[in-house]
Amino acid sequence: MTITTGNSESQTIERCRTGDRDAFRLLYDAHKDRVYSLALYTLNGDAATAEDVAQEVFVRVFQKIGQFRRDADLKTWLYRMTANACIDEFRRRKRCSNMSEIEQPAAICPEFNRVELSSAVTAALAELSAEQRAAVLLKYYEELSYDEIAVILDCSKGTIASRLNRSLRLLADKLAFLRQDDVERKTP
Amino acid sequence: MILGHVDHVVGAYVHGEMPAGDRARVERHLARCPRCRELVDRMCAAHEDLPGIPTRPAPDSLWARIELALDARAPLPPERLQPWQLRRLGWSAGAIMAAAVGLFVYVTVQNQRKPYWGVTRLQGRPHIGWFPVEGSARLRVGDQLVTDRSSTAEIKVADIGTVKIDPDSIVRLKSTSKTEHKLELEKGALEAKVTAPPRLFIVDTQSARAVDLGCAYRLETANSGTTQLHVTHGEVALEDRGKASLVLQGFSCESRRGAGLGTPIKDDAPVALRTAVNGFDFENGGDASVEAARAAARPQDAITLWHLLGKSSGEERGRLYDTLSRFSRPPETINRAGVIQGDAKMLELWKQVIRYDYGETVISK
Repeated sequence: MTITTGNSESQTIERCRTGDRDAFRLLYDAHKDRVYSLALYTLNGDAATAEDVAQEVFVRVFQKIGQFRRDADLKTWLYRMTANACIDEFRRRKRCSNMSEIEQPAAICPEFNRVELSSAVTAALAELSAEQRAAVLLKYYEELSYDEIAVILDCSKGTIASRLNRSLRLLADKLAFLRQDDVERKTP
Repeated sequence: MILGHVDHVVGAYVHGEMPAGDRARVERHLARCPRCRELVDRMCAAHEDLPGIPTRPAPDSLWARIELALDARAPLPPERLQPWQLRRLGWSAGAIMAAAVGLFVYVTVQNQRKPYWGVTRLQGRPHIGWFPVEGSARLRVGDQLVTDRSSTAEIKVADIGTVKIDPDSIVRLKSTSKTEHKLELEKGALEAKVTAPPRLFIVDTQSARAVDLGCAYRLETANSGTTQLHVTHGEVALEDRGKASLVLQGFSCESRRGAGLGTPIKDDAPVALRTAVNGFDFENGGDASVEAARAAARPQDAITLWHLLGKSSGEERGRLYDTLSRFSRPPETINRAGVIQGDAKMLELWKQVIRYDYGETVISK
């Protein structure tokens, strides 16, 4: 059984409120890949930490589902917790280690570089701060609007606009060589 | 208002997040500013490189981890009532609900405080009480683990070993502490592997109690109340009403409700010996069965004869002494007369000698 409509999702949420583990499994199945992927990309491919984050997010969802407003969007709530957990993780690492270690995950998911993103884009994303990367991923990965991203990351639309502007400019600088290569290849 | 160069708003411009008026101003500026136009081109290029990030499947292990974490944490708080809901509730209904919630929380908290063992689903859909075991779960003191015909499960016994539960079985955790871990096999079969000091792990059945002495074994109990124990490593004491059978590695022992404990017998024992022991234990075979057992026994069946020694009497016990002393020479402190009289110290000492002579793993020789 899968959740296919918003209506059935709200019914599933109602069942979750009663502690129904099967209903929670349905919610989990519907969102697990998106939550895990968002965490994986935000954490620069650190698969182990991404799994920890996804676990924590779903446990908190199930424990706090009783406080979830019926008119709210579950996806927004999930992404908000995921992004915040990833940003918290980076801040925690920042306190414990120097900057060079922060952006080097202990074990990068083997397919991360090879399949999902070109290594150039991966490297460019890794240059961003965790907050910037979360905003970029929500923009490009979830195709959310500035307003939606602002809600998820709990800041103003202006902050998101500024964050994305700086991020896109930095990415443009880092990815400029790709265009250069294209030009050189096309030049006889 | 956008004035001068547009560096600070190119992102919003590229993303289409700019009001129409501002967008028109940016485009007018771009028409006359090569520097900003070049920046927009570069950022548009990056914008094109980014979309299409695919979804990565979450690892299969994630759900099991979540369930474990959920089981390990406090129970769900009751849902917060909305003001309009509260208004609808009368005082009496509120009081009843508060009492019910209080009772639920109390019972749940008390339950959460109970010690537990971890359970892993191996096949099918085992249950703990009413709840199916999906991946892994906790078996708390008092809980029943039930497997149907197509399911199996494995219990981690504190930090001392594991118990695999066969299909169509029911087990209940009776107690667990530093000094004793006790399980009840109500129906079906289990296989235990335990590395712990002797007598720490105990399994009760309808007709006997299996006390681990450092071992691996299989225990089955039928609806009739018959219990079958087979030791695959080390040794186990099968006990009932103050009596005990020492079951060594490679031996089996049966216990029947009403008839009491049987005599341990080696897996490869001759049929004649097996028939004789069964006749003595459960068919009132008497001296004739003992004679038949004595005649069929081999040296490696010494522990079987020793058990018959304790159950027989008079001259039959004397003849058993003669046969057994050929298989396992008694120490000087043991003599025929004392054994015939049923001297408990002599019999116990001789059992230890036989364990030493024929036990395969417990005593280093």
